[in-house]
Amino acid sequence: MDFSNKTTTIETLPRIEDIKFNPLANKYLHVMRIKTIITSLILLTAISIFHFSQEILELNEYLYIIAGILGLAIINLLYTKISFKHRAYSLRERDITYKRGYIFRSITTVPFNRIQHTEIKEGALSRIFSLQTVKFYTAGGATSDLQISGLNKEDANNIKEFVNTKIESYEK
Amino acid sequence: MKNKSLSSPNKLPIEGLAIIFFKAIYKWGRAIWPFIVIYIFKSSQYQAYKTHIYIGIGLILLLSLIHAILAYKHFNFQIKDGEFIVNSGYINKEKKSIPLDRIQTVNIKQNIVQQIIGVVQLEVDTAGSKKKELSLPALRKEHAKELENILLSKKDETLVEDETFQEKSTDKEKNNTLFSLSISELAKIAISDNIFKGGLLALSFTYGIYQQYNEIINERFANEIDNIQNTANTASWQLILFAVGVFIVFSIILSVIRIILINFELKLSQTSQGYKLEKGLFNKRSVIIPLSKIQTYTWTTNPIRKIFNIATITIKQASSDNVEERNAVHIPGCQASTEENIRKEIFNDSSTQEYDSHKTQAYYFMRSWAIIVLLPTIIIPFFVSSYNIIAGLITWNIVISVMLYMGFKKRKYRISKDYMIIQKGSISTSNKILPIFKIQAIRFKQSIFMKRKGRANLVIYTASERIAIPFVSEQFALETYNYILYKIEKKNLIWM
Repeated sequence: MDFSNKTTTIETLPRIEDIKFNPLANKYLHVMRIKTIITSLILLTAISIFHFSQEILELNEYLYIIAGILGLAIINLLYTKISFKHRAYSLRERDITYKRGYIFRSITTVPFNRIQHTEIKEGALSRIFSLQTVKFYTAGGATSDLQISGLNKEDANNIKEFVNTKIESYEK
Repeated sequence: MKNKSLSSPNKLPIEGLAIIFFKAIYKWGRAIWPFIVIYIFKSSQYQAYKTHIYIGIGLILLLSLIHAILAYKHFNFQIKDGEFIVNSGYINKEKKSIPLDRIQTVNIKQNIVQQIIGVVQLEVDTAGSKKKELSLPALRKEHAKELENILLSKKDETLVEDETFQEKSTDKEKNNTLFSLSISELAKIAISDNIFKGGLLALSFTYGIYQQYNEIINERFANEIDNIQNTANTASWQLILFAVGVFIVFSIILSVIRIILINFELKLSQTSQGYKLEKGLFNKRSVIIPLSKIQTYTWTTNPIRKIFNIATITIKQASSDNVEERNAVHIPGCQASTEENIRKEIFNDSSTQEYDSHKTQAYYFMRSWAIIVLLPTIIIPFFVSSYNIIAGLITWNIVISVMLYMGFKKRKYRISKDYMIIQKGSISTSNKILPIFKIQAIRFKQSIFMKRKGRANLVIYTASERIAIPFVSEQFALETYNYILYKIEKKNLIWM
């Protein structure tokens, strides 16, 4: 194949912009919200303890900080809601793709023949909602590893099985 | 190792005991050196504790010795069922194993203690995300070389007879040297490289001084009262400039010495599998670079290197460690023609293919310029009115603007059927070439603002590094994305 063919070939190549994405489990939105709330609560408690024990902060300074934390939490909750729709994954015959983000969007694809191994992880909070995370390890450090959180247990297992079968078929 | 089989556990040679002992001492030394320094300088104050201190040192030595004996006794390695296995530890026993076909690099190193005792250290690395490294701290040189061959040949030792290894290793000795650097050549390279950096700094400072004196002279005539204050100002400025000058000269000298030490007696030779690089004075290092395992190849020049017609080659192999220095092999002072031959041998058809050239959009550099040049220029004069600082700011702006413009001119992405070349740099120029099929993963990044303008970022993940391609047209980004995936997935070629 000559290079000058590239432009013609490229139009017939499978296009990432055309693939259909599968959403994450809706329950995962709850997990993310609860995480935000817990983090804010921890911050609020910490600053309150600091304020009432040390008496360094003025009352109005303390209230500003509280308002700041609450404001950030609300923005975070709203953004989580908006961007949640944009978190999705897609399995093709030869690769797996994950996209995320609303203001800063990213799409990541890892071909199956570059995956070293897969792993299922389960956070404490996710376990309550029976959600799991599938992690795909590639060569060359953690930056290129792909991780998909917020999958229903059976989906996570199916994806892992599907990818593992593919990996094994490449290793032969 | 000649008569012993590797399939049963092997101990380190007895020199290993000494190496483990010295490593333990070194660790202690690193932990307590501030106290030692204090003691040496203020020994009179601690006279009363003299015995305590000697007992302490004695205890450290004794503990280190016991540790060394136990560690030595429980340390063994073997090759079994296609895996390289190292057992270590006496309290917490640890068994590390690496399948031979997952081994990416085998390094032979020698620090100063190992050089004195006459042993080498062998390090094995794989390319998984989970950190996996094995290290044998002391081996006799010829055994290390044998083991290196066995490990890199990916074969179970039990399947191959010992004699073949003997032949193989003698065969390896006959490899032909591509080039080597004498100490004077090396010094020239190091000095020319650093003088360039230093020269630029010196230039900007001289400019700063010139500006400053101009102002002082003007001010003196304009206002006699400010005179005293100005002299005081000048004195401190001169002092600062002098200190900075000394610092620059000193750091250049140190850097030159460092480069000479690291690259001392550099020798690049060709072996049956690829290349072999040996270098270093206090820390000797020998690396075998099999052609098939090379992930990216970079050649760098700068105006001074161009006069000498030399380039620095940086080769990266897959590594579980993403720390730059660990997996990068630097070969400085390579003649341009030699460099080209090496590149042709590694990627044999890379020079004959046709390349499509693309650029990062000027907007990206304009944005950087706005942030690091324009913004400070607007803000700083509000807070400082000193002419010196403003003169410095102007110098800074000129230097940065020129660098950014050069960076914009140089940044290019060329894509052919099988390769990708990323060119960048400001004063120096580096070109990184990688075979497209060796890419591990790819990411497309875009903010909603970029989407409106039809721009996007691409990030390419190879087994050795992350390569960013910022601010290209959305269409180019998507086309490249799809093409890269097509190249990886079309054939299941071995990438390591």
